[in-house]
Amino acid sequence: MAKRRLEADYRNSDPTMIQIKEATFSELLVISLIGSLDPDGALALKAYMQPVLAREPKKLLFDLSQLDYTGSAGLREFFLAAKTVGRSGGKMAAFGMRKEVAHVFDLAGFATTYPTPPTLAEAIEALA
Amino acid sequence: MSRPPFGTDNHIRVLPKRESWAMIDQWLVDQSSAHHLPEPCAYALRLALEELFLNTVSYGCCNNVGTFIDLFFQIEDGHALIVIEDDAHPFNPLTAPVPCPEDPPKEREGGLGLLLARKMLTALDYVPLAKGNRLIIKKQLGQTPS
Repeated sequence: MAKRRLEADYRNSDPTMIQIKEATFSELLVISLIGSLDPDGALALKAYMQPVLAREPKKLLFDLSQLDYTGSAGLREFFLAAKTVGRSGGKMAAFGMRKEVAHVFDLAGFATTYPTPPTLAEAIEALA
Repeated sequence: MSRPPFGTDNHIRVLPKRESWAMIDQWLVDQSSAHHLPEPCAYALRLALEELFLNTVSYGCCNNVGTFIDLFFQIEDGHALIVIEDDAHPFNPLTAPVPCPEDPPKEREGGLGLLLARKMLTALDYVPLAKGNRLIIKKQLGQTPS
């Protein structure tokens, strides 16, 4: 599947904040979040995603398997990313959520509009 | 409920600034650990507290009104309780409009934090003070996600 893979890392100097990793597989862009999306983490994600979304990715996946926590500020960034990708004709999904994180996404109604499967394979299939 | 006395490990006082969140977050981690809170309970408290604290700082304490925010933690009758008190503008988050999950995402975004807090908590009460506000967050310890 992977014809070309590029990786980039974002590590905030504060070890308690969110870490963001990016990997590209052909037209598939995977953003992995590690840690907690507290208010400052949400701001960091927002700043990170602005140039990413400006590239108008056609298939954007969020790997949330190592995301311990998100509050409403972080959730808003996911909604924003999904809407932005959709406006440019792309698709977005988020996969691998831990139980408590998945519960929050469900309560927010995110899963009623965007795919949130448990595995990477299912997420790729959802973007096909 | 009778809240814990000032100056104990169950109490923290912070400045009404966004930057105070890190202290509150750590305090809540310490409370969760000390009282062996189940993960769903700890998560719900963190999310609700984050939302309510930021609302207080953004709306209640604007124009430099408000000099402190006190937080108290205790376990009572199988529930974890957090009391938040401030001396800021009167602000009742319970009367803020709640978005409907069936609404389009744009309309949902405003007030999303309060929607989540209300859904995840057992109870959320507001009491106006002579000068300031009191919020009481309550989460049943053994409650599974709804």
